[in-house]
Amino acid sequence: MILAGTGLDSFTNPADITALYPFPGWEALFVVVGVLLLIGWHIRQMRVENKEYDDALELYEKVGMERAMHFGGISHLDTDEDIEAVQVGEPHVRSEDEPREGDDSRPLTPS
Amino acid sequence: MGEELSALNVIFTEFYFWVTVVMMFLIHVGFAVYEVGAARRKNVQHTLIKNIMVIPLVTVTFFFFGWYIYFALPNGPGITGGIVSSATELAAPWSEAMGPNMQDRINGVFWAAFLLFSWTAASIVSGALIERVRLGAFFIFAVLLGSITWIIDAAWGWSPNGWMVQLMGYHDAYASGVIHAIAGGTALAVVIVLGPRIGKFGPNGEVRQIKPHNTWMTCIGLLLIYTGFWGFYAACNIPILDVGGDSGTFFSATNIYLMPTTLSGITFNFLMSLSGGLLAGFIVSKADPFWTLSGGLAGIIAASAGNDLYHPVQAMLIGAAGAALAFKLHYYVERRFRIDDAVGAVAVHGYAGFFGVVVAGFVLWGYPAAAPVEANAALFGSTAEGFPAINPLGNLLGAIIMFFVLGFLPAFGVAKLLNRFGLLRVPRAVELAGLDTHSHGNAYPYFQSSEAEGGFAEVERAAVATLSHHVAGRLDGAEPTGSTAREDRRALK
Repeated sequence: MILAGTGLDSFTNPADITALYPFPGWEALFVVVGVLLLIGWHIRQMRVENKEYDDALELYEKVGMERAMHFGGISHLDTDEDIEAVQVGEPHVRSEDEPREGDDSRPLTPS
Repeated sequence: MGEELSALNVIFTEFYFWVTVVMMFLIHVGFAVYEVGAARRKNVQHTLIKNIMVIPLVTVTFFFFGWYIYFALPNGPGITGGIVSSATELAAPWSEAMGPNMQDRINGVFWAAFLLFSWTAASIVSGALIERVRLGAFFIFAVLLGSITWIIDAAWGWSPNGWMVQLMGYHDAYASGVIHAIAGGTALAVVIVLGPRIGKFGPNGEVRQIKPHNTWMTCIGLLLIYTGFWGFYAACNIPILDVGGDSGTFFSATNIYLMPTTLSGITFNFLMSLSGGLLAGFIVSKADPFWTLSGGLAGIIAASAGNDLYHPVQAMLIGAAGAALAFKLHYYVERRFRIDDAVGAVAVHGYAGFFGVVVAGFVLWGYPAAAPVEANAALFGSTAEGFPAINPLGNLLGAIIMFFVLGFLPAFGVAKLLNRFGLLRVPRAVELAGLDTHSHGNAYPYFQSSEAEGGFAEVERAAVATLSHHVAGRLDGAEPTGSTAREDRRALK
């Protein structure tokens, strides 16, 4: 026995059926919710971009544009210590064990 | 749906448009591949995400208001009548017809076919702006064109009851103006406000070529666009309709204006206009693969306005002329006005589309444009049977409406507004470092050469020298505005 439903409970007479989706009659509310979410999505995107560019400019000022323009030039600058090392002019020396840029950190063979 | 023949016709039409949607998806794939190939390697992922996000943003807005606009505004409103009230029942987003409904089999697939046109329009603009536009700004242009301005022009000029068709005899069967000219006009407006990529023009105005990072990808992308274009053409037709009128039953395919054509005819003309464009593109570009393929696209676009009725040789010649015009105008505008359209979108779609609409007015002069709507009197001539007639003046004015009034002007206003608030263009340091650099990282981590830009790195280093001295001065001969000015102010602190 069905105690409650959200729309149809029978397909016996298809010629009499109109909307197939659940909660018919609430469409206007669905649309209002969708439009508000969309507007919010655009506003969020603009805010995220502003912060993203501010952060990028701050980083480029610290490490210098020459480094930023080199492909992958900032990809190892994950921490403040890394950035400070660049600021004081310490060269970034890659050890033999350090993965190259783009390498997966996982080993190729099971350990 | 009671009678078998009627039911079969409806279900065939439903399936027909459904297939066109799947085919048209390839246009979007093609644009993504082509633009990613055209971008430099430091901007590849930013370019790709721009194309990806056209899909959801234009889709949901086209559901919320784009489809309603098409049915509500064929009269202007205020030109041949008011807002069409029946549009609410059919296409308002809260209508029962805008969802799974046992009493409707065509609305969703017809909506999707138009939606794929919307993606196409937005993607055309996308290519022109690569490597310096902000994502959020592009998203707004995508919605503006994909779900508002182009569908207004479709209501006006791509509907049998549209006021441009009824009053002006406007004819544009496969959307030379309705999609391509308006998208070209929009792209032109945005690139004017956006400005050129750093280093595109030298201090004395000399034009520098910024090469694609992968020419092969750009060409494959264009070939994919060709493939999807077949679906586009099919979607512009009604596959089965009784066009016999008083003379008895006669089933045929029709164009969007419900005037007869045949799939056979448009197949001839699609391929002949493509070939004309390729032949001309090959000559004017001196066998450059990118511009030869772009010439093919321009050829189809130029002939599209009348490809339901042209002779195949007419289609070929018009296609050839459109391709040559697009190529020559692209480089003329670039040199003369220092406008940086990164992929030639304004030329291939905008100029060729505009040209195609104008030419159709002459070549198809006197043909019936659509069945007359009572109380509308055609301004520029009617056929003996009282149908509004296709004519040069109507199509010329129509091309102007598409390119300038609905394409250029709204986009120019929005671009100015976004620029005013610093939301249009990425900061110069970000542009120079690459739009992928701060957020995505290197798209090709195993290729390490920093000189992979065909010698362009030197120009960019010179621009960096300007930045590193914190000079808020001129770069590329243009005063910084919007986002760029904001960055400079920040640097001077």
